[in-house]
Amino acid sequence: MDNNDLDLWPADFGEISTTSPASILRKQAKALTERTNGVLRGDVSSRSSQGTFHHSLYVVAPTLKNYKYRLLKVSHGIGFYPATIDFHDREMNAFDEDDLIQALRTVLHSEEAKRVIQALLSQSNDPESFTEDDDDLPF
Amino acid sequence: MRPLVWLTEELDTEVLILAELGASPRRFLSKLNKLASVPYHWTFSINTRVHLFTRAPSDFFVAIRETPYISIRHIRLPAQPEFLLTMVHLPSQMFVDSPSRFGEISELATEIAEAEKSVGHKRTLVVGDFNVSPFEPALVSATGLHAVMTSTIAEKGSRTIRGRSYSFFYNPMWNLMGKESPGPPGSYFYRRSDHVSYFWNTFDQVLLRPDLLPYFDRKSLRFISEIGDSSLLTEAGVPNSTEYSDHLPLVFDLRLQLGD
Repeated sequence: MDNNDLDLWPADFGEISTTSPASILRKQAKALTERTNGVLRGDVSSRSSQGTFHHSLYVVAPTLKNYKYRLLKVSHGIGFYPATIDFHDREMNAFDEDDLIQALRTVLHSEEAKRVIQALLSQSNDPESFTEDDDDLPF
Repeated sequence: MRPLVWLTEELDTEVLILAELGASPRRFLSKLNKLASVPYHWTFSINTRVHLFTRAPSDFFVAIRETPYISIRHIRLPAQPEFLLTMVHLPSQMFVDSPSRFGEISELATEIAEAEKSVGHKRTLVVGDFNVSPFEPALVSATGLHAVMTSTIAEKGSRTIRGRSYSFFYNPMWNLMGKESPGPPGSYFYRRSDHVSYFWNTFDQVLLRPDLLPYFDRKSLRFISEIGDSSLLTEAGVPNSTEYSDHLPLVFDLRLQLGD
């Protein structure tokens, strides 16, 4: 028996009904680029470590020598869910695609995310316009 | 503010890196420059956990990659070798468990590798509050920062594990730990109520790639426990967090013009 053409795989692998977290992040990256007319660019970088996949969403400022700020990170195992969303000092869990979309919506609407985008837009458009809050000094 | 200014004047500090500033950097800069004999500059940064003030124009200290815990600067001073300055203030041990701290350090290693790739060299220095001790796996592991205790090992550049190459950092902080080291036994004192307590911790560290070692003045590295006649320690001999800070300042010289 000639086993050269032996293929033991199933005829198809079933329907893939879930969108990957990386794909959801890439859509947000694309949306950021479009919403800011390219003044800022979204970028997703993925890596795997010890069985965990990490996808980081960066905000890139092309006019600031391609400065990159990691806004958030989504991590998951070989299955897409549960996934963990790391954002600023917070960590959230998403148990399915709807959870992840809801968590990302919350994060991207947060004051911290707005602060980052506003500061980078401001700095990109006019380097002199970057301002800070007037806090009290501890000294 | 005055003790800090006194310190910068006394040490002729070219670069001042501060964590937990508790104020806007611009206001801080304004107050600093009212007292300093040589004015400092602050550079644009999204990161709010660690700030850099420099006597050289801020254009030479451009941020190229940042996360909420990391700020990587591409330092290009005139007629001097360029290098990467990575400033960190990683999550506190009080809020993040050991595996998560390892994860953060791995992220840091990835960010540094990407930055080194983008500038095309490995003259990299990492400094700040790591919230991890020099002997913890996150700092020592090849998949962490791969920071070793002797420059002889670090100068080999990298080592290969199961077909993958990992670059070294040299961690000179091993020389500053313990009672017999010059200066205080560590930079941060914390008495845990658990079975394991190190009491003195060396969370504030500087790590260097071997390519930067020729410029590093090893003898200059120290923790500061006194400013003039004032001690930064309490009568019990631990950092005076009420009047100054719960961390002691870390000082070192990087002599970019060899032969200075």
